[in-house]
Amino acid sequence: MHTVLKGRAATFLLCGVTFLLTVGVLATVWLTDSPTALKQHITLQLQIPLIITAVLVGSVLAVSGATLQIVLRNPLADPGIIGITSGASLVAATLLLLTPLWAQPYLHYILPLGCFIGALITTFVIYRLARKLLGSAVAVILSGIAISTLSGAVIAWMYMFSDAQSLRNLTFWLMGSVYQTTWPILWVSGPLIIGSLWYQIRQSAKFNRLYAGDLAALSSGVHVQQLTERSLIATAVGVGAAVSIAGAIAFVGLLVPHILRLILGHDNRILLPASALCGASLLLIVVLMSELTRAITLPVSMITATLGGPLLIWALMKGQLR
Amino acid sequence: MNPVISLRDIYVKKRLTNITLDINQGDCVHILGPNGAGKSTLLSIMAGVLAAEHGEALLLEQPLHQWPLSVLSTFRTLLAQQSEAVFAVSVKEYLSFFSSETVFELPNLLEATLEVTGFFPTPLNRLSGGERQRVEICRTLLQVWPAIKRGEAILLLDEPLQGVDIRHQYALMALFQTLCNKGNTLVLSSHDILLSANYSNTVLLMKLGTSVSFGLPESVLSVKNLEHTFDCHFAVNKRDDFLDIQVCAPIVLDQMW
Repeated sequence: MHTVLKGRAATFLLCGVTFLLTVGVLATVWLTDSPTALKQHITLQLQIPLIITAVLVGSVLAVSGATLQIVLRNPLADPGIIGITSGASLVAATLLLLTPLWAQPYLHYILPLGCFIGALITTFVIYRLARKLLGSAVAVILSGIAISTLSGAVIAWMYMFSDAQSLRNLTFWLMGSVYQTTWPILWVSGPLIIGSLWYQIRQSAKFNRLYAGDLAALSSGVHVQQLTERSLIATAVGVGAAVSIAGAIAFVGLLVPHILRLILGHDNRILLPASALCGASLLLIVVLMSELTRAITLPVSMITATLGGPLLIWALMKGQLR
Repeated sequence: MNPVISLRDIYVKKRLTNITLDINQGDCVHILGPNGAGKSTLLSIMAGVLAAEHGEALLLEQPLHQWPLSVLSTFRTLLAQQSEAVFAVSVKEYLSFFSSETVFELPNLLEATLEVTGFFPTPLNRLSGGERQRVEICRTLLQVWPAIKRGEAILLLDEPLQGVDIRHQYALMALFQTLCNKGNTLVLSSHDILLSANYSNTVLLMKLGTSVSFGLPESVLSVKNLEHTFDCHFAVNKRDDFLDIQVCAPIVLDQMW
């Protein structure tokens, strides 16, 4: 029990340090001798949206990963792996490439909605496919891979037929970036993400019962099918909104919950909030690294994969996954 | 006294036909029958997690589908057949998720019977089949422990003895008798005819989704009923208080070689 408490303290401490460090590094802008108006603009229009984006996207991806793993009873589930992200990316790519010029100014508003619908549709398709395949744990992953491959193919075809500007926009989607947000996008996506997080974290006590299997959970008073369907919708909404502001960010949903389970145990009442905290911190680290390297804004997926790969292998060695 | 569980003409396609029976408070009912006889389906119906296509299932005189799941879960519990453990949840955490108390503590009676404290730090997916089964039984009883203590619980257990070693099998039978004597109602399915004959107060023999016989063990477990149900020969002897049932002339496969 003591190790769990220590783990909790360490997790909180690490997340706190990350947050303070990021804010500190970003605040150094006020030490330069640029005009105050410019400094204000940088802080209000660039840095604050940046931090909010990193926090929202990181937390919703990590929590959705944890939720999907429990609900689908598959430790490999992740918004990226089971295809929710790819559905959202497909819609984003379609919108980015095919929106006529006159509609471009409204893209900010159309995009979150589109991604959200894309995520919802793929979630639904995967869920139906998996149910048809007797709901086995492997079936969900397989149908997710099928969906991902399919949307990957469509995106590849679109690549072939698009101009240079659209190509650049598209590349951002596929690698993920927290530097594309503005206040208007956040006003639309933010509430969706917060709603999704709120719903998922509220269900965490019920999620604990799912470890015992469908019938046992049902017998203990959890409406399993209803919970599964609503949780899938909640993750689709959250992930769709996250993709719409930051593109397809890989790995956070798989990585964060797995490592936290090793440190904090399997109680979702602790795991879900901690996932939110650590997912947010992970993306703040990305922001921090981009800030420190200055010259280029690093693609998010590159960093999450670089950090995540070795950590996941460590988790595998510790026997978290079978 | 009114029955706790009352089934009238229960029908589920390809599973159950015309099951009618009453179970009273404090009964210790054992369901026996060959594979595919409908034992698990019947338990699911009694638990209210599966609806019958025709017929009426009453729990405490109220139709099962009218009971809210959250109320039902406080006094009725179901042990289903084991599902695969995917996550490495430690046994202690796992059990605590099903305990109604804020600070989880394993009741002494459960620990004395099931001896699961030794597994507390072990992940669920590292347990052997029988160890896992003991943990699952513990989990099932914990869910309704306050009701068990009041003697108002309804315990529905699908093959609780599966994989459990002989010492714990007898410990479990003793536990179940104790719980029933306190007023709890228990229905379990089993393949151990001898154990059921001596540790139950009511036996239900099932075959192909129908009830062959329902009542006191010594009257239900007659040679005629057993041979009709299981399609093999039996010898039944009563000595003092002990009902001895053995399969005689077991199937010989040598000629088929």
